Amino acid sequence: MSAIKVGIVAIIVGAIGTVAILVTPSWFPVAAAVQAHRQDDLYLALMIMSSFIMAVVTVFLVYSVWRWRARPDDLRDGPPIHGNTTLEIIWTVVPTIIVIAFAVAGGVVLVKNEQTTSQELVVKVTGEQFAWTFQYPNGVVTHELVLEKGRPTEFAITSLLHDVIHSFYVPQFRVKADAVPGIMNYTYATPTRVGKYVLICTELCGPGHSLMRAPVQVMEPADFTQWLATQKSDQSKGGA
Amino acid sequence: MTGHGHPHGPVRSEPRSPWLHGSWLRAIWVSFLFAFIAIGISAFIRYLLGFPLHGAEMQEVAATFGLTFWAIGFTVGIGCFDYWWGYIIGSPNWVQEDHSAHGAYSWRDYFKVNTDHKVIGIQYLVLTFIFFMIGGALAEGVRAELASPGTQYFSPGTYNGLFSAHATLMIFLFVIPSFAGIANFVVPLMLGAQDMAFPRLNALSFWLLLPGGLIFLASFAVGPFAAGWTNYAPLSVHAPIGDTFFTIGVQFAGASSIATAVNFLVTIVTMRAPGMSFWRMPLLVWANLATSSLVVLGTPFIAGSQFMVLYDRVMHTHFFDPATGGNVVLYQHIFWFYSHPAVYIMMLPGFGIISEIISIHSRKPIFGYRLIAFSTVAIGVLGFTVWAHHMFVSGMAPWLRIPMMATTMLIAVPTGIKIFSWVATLWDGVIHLTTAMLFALGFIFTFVIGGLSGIFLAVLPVDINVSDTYFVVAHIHYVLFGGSVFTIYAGLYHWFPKMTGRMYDERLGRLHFWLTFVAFNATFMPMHWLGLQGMPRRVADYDPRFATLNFIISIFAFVLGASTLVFLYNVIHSWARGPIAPANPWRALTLEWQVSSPPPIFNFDEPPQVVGGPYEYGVPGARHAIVTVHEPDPQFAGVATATAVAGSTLQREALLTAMKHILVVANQTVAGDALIDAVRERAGAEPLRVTVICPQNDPGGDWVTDDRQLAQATRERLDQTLARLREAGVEAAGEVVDRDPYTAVMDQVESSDPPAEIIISTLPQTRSGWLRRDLVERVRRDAKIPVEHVVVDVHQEPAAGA
Repeated sequence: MSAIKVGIVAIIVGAIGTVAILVTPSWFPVAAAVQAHRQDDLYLALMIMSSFIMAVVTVFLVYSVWRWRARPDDLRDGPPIHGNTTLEIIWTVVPTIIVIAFAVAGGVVLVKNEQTTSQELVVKVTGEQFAWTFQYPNGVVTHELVLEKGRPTEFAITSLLHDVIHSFYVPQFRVKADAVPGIMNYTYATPTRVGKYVLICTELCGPGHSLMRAPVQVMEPADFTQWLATQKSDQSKGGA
Repeated sequence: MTGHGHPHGPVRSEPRSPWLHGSWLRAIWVSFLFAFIAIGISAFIRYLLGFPLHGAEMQEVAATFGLTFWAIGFTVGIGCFDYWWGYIIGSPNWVQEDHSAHGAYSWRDYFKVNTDHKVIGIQYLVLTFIFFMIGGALAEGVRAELASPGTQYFSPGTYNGLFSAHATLMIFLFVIPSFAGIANFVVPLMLGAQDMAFPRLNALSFWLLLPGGLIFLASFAVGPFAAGWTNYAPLSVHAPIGDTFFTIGVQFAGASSIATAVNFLVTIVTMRAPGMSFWRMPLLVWANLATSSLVVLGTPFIAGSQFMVLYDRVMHTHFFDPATGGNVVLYQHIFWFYSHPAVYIMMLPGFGIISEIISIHSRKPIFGYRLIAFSTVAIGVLGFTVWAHHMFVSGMAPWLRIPMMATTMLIAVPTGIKIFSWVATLWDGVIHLTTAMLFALGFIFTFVIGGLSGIFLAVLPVDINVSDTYFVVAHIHYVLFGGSVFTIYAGLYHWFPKMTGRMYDERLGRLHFWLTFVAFNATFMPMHWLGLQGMPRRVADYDPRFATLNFIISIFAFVLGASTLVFLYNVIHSWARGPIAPANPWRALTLEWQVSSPPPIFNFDEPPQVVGGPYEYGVPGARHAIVTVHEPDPQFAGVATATAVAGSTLQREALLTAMKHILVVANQTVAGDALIDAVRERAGAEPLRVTVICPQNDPGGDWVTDDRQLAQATRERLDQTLARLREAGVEAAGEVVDRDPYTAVMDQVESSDPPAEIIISTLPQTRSGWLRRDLVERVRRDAKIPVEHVVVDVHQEPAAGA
């Protein structure tokens, strides 16, 4: 079989892999933010690219071993082929183009994910061993992260000054940022789905790291406004 | 020829007390003496200054000085500095290098300071494999805990210590130094050099490793370091005393690494044999050139980062304390400026090994030699421009993220070049599926997966999602186990015959490969999915919906651990009893295969003349180098087997296998023409060394043996035979032995100088007592080396010597 035929088989295998990737029901937990959908699309594109590269390498590898496997007493040498400039240029240039394309796509998605608007909600997130605190613009402080569906939200994340690094991660939003003592770190999510999720710490922060979680809830705008107002009045009463 | 080369080690004029000269005994007392003096001085200074001599601060100070000087004292006590020290102080007992600590004459020499790169290579490989198994056991502890959600066996602090020590041992005490071990053994041979450029520094590099590793392990006695191998500040600064053990252990592992790298750089640049231009170097040498550059430039950064953590802990310097102007993210920049290149330090030597193996075992020149060499250098250079891709969510300067993404993704290009070149080398080859080759092929498969998931991790939005999840755990194990460990196994199998002089068992090797390959993929492939689903790494407890998958992963992780035992059994058994390896079992062209297995103490009698590329398989008449072997020095008998050549100094070409040792067993037929012709025929094909034995006893008791006349006659026939063989240009020795033939043969096979082939000479079937007792069949069955049976009909031949 010539190399071209093996290449065709490899592309067919890559295409079958692509179909398998596309029909797989769930690669991720449910997507609950605009950012999550963008990440998922990028991930699928990477998976499809990988499917073809994996197929090309594996099919050529397996075919070569199957076709040219020698008995131990076979003392022949193979043909003295030292290289092929055309092939070497192809497998330098094509991967370069692929990675540049993905770098551009990644950059574009990143910039879109982090666009700020004037009506965004800013939540200050503070990590400490081993708990999360959330502060809203009206001064409300909670240990539950409550967000408004459809409203771009900026998380201004930090850690207590004498504490350690934590990391803010909501899998359903696909965004993450470290909570670092002494600096303010930002990440952005626009929730798109009402529901309850979990915020998990993803930076090793000590013995309690596994259990450092906080509840996250996305509400309809009306519910959110009401929740914020209730919290506000509760806390002023508590503080009074 | 005076100083070196006594069959039982160098001559020493006076007995040396193990208390006072380099030995384990002295290492123990000197190391603890150093530690106590250091702790004593620091305590005294604290006393003078009015600081308390108890409490956490005193413990930190004691640990810092005690551990540091304990480790230094160990290297002093074991004898790494004896030569230099004698020179510096002008000791009257000091003698100019007499090679008395060079080469192994018995197994005990492997436990001493030795300057022979081959001994050091094996010391490295054995020590690092021990740490590999300890690190593996720690990983099995992690998997046991993770087999079900909740906490079962370990407290969270201990659990964090388990994975921290696992990663630390695997990186600093296994992957990096075991590549140094393989390179130590192979690179000087490949270059045609007699040793490394700085043999004593080489020994010191090795002996720094052991105290470093012991310090890491000792931390379990005081509560292990538990901030991950990354030891991020400020968690590490606030951590209990175990973390100090980490910061000091890294210094010794790092110093070992740097010293070795300097040694490789100088060796590769200055000690290449005549004709060995850079473009004729084997790709393993290229890989080590690039790796060593990375180590020399990068490792000081991790040393610095850990010193800063240590100073923050002990001296309260506030490098990483934001409350007093320190910067937390700074730690990560310094740390990853080493630790990302470290990934290539752990991968490039493996690429070199794979290039060797793929080319040799598919009998084809490596496809695109120069592009592979260039890509190695490109990875080395680009490797320094990507460190911050570990920090995309860390809060570093946001603008830095996109440039770092771009450089990271570009590294996929030279890596891809290598993979495509290896596959193209396989195409139309003559592929021999030895165990080394299986591991190389398995490596290509697993490394492509690891490389592709690396591209996922470079793409910023995807990285932001999966960083610090199990996706990252899967990725690093695909590159460091599926990558580095597979290549280390491939290299160990490939060079095992050269290192030990014995062949390994291919069937066990294949079993080991398939167990490892299947269990590895079954362990780490599902971790990608766990990460995508949002399971964070470094947790002892997790969401119960991941329970089933984690249980399956743990089962396969135990299988993966057990597969190591197959390897271990194969290595130990083959090293002791495997068939004797020829000089060049793989018919390779590179220089290490042109000397005996194991190589002579000084590798080459004369510098080889390199005349061509290292991978010219299939090119008619092509050769890499011409190697000259001198007449054997009888003093090396038993150490350098099979370098002997009949006659005087003889130019012998590199492509020939080294001198073969044949055992001839004969009694009444000893001077028979048929037998002597059989030996001569072999001598025409290759240089030979023959041992003739005439077994005289027969415990079966059906003939008389205690007959002086008979023995005398046999002796005469033997002497005639030896004389005739020597006339034919064969190096021959022989004796009449007082045993039954089977025992006599097996004694020779199991001796320190075993034969590569046996010729048994008997009378024809009807008159041979040996054949009646199935001697030939029994020897064939048990000796596991080729056995030829020559029939000599004494009555048909003229009387011997008449």
